Amino acid sequence: MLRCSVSHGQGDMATTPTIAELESRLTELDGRWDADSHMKVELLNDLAWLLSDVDMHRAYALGEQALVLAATAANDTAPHHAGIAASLRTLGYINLRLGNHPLGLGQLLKALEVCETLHLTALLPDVLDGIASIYVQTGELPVALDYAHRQLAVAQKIGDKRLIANAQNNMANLYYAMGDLDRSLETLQNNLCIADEIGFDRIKALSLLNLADGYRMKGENERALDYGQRALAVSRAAGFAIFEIYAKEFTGKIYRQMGNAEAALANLESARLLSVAAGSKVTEAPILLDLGEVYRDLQRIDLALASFQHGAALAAEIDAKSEQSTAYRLLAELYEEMGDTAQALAYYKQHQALKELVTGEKAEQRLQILQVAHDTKSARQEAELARLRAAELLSLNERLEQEVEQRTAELTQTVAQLQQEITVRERAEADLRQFAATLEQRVAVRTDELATFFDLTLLAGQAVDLHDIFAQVLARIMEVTRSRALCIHLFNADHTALEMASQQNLSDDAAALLHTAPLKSNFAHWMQQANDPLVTTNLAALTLLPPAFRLPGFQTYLGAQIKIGSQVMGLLSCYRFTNRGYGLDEIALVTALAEQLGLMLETQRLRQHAQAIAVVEERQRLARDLHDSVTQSLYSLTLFSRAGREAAEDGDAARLQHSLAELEHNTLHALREMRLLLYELRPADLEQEGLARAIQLRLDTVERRVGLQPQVYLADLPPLPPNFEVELYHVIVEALNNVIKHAAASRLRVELVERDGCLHLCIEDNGNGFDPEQRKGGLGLRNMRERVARLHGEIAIASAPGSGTRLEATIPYPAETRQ
Amino acid sequence: MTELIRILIADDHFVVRQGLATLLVPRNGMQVVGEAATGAEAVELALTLRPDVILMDMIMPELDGAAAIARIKAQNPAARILVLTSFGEREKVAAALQAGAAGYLLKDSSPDDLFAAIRSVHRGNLVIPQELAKELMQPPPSAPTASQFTARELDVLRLLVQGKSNPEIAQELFISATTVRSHITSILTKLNVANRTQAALVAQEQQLV
Repeated sequence: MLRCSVSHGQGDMATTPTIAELESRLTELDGRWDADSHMKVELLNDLAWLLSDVDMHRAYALGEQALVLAATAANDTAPHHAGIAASLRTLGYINLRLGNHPLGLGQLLKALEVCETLHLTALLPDVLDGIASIYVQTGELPVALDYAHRQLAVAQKIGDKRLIANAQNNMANLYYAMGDLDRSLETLQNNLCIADEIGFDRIKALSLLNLADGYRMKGENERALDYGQRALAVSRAAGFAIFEIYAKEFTGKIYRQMGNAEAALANLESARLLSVAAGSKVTEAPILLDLGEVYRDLQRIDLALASFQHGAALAAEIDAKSEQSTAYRLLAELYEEMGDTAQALAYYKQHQALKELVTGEKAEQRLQILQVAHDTKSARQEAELARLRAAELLSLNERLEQEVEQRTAELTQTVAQLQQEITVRERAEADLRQFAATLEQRVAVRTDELATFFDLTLLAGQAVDLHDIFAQVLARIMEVTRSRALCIHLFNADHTALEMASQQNLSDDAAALLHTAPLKSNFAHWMQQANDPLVTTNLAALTLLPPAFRLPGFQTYLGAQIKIGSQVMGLLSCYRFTNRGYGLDEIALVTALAEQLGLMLETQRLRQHAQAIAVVEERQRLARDLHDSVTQSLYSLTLFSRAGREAAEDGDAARLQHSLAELEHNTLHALREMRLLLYELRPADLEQEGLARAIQLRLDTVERRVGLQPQVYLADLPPLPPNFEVELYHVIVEALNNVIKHAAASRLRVELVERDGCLHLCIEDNGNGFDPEQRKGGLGLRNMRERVARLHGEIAIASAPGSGTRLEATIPYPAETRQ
Repeated sequence: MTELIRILIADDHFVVRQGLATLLVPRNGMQVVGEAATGAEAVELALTLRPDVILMDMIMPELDGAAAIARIKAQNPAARILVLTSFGEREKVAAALQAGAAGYLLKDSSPDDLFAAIRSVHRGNLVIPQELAKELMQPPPSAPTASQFTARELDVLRLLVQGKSNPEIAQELFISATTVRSHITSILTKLNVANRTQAALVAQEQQLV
């Protein structure tokens, strides 16, 4: 089997220019300064590829030149990638031939990468072929098979049968190397058919050669001989000198195996001569060894020795260590046969050393190849990673840029907002300073205003004459609003006009004008519902107001409705001479004051209403009292009168007398009760008259009128607090009422004196009396006890049926009048 | 000679008891067997004295007339009670009769009427003066309710209770004073009162507004 495929796709192209043509074109191109570097690269590559079969050293030099030129790309910006790939392929091939497997593999893998990246399909089959071959050489058969499969796949994809044939030839070599001889032979026969079909002589010759050698190994000598002769014929016809040598060598070996030494020698000698003629020491060295073996078979020891030694020398010359090693082994065996053990031992040692060297070299190469493959693979992975990382970085960068842009926009906006905020804050601070400056002044004004409110509220709470209240209120408003004139108008009874209720500082004429203002048109409407105040600094032009209100001489006017809730009651008018308008504070103040006036009026009205209701209730109470007392007395008078009449009819003097006495007595009683009721209808005005005078009035109106002549001792008392007087007065009146109602007394003593810082009250009668134990809970008595207790005093009642009643109370003088 | 009608007087007014005792004498076929000043006393004496007729005032301390009547009738369903009082209100009459009184007489009636009433009650009759009977025959004047009034009348009544004058009410309700007056007339009629103050009082009592 041939040790390399020795096949290039371009080798037999009909259109391929010859080496001579290319050489001349290259010379022509070198002479031109403006030469296109791409064209030169292609020319160099084509020439190197063609020469690689013929002159490897020159081919290598041209390939390197092409590579450098392609990589630097003198007149172009981009490197000439296709050129790089082509030159790398050529260099890799040459290194493969030279046995520089690691270097060649590196170049071919690099070429593969460029081809795959740039989709240079045309170059791929050659590159893959080269890689597979190197792996075959280094024993990495499975890897080689993988690349060979790829080569076949690419070839099939391209659809070129030459390429397919090349790939299949490689496959056959591989199957052979892997020990599958049958499959190898099968593939070769198949390939032979393809080569026949398309007239691919090179593959045809190669297939025949390999088939011949294969069948020789299988021992099928006849068949092997047949293929060998066909190979010779095809090679000779196609002018393949090397293949012709191989054909003769293989045929010689077949004959040797068949035992035909003559024919073997003839063919091998012929092959050796052809090698010498072609200068092919590569073929000559193994042929010499084959010859030596045939001579040894023939026991022509000298010739055998000479052949072996010649072969060994040639192998050493061309550094074919494997052949050299084989030669040394054969020599050692020969010397051993000759009995020269010393020589034999020496050759064996050389053979062993060389074998070890080859093994070491192979191991070394294998290691390097693995390293190269690994480096290339790692480099690709790294490149891929770098590419991905670059893409990632790029998108990351884009994102970052976007973010930066966005952030910048945000920051710009924020800065703008901050600036705006700062401006606003500065303004606010300025306002605040100004406010602080006027705050003190405002506090003073506000205090005054609040005082006014307080005064008004206080006034409103007291039941004083409205006219007085208005006068006081107006005086205060005048002060705090710095008005020149004021007036208050209220609705008349039927709401047809406003009537002046009070005024301050108006001239007589103005007061007369404003006394009554009829409610008409818009003004009537405005006054009918709650409205914001009227404000003007041009009073004459405020036509909403009735003419009377537009007083000559005044320019500024503020009119606020006096109202409670939504119910309008009147109008508070404020005037100023100048056109210095009322400030917002003042308007708010006057509005509030007007509403306060409304509240006062409402309070007043409610109080009157409550009084009216109280009057009604009082009348009802009196009616009940009449029923309860006078009615009963009068009914009994009817009964006694009837009894008296019956007695008179019967002549019953005793009964008549009794009836008349009862009549007199009860009539008097009824009279007293009537007095009391009359007094209650118009009681003494304690507030107006004072306590002593009120008691006197009561005694005059009731007790003296009904014939009781009370003894009265009333000390000259200092003025007492109003509530004290009220409580004390009611205690006295209650006691007197009891006497009138129940005692039927003829004598009464009333005493009120001061002793030891206490007031002493004593009311005594000579009437019916009662049992205090039984009548403890009477309403009148209980009321008296409660009133005295409120004055921190004590009360004692002494009475018995038939022996009159004596009431005594001791009350400490109130603190505020003690000194 | 017929037997004297034995009478128990229950009245908190001393003068009334005195007058009645002077008049209800054997000469007139009657005899006062006891006097009570409170309702409780009346109940007690009615049980111990077993009078033929009890004269009972409606307003008394400790136990009022109606309650005393009910107690007495509970103890002795045969007891004959004639109410003698100065109050002629429908409710009081009805309450007394419901409690079991046999008659109801006002204190402004004449002594002859009193004698006649006592005798009539003693005979087992029911005695109700014509003017009271007439009132009792009338359907009871139910307490005024808000449903009797129109929404507008209730508005007016509410303001009236607040003590507002007619012009004020008119202003507040956006109606004329004349309309207000006609509403108030209607309200007074429905409440059966004489003036606006009474109307306000009744409206508050009955919680009409």
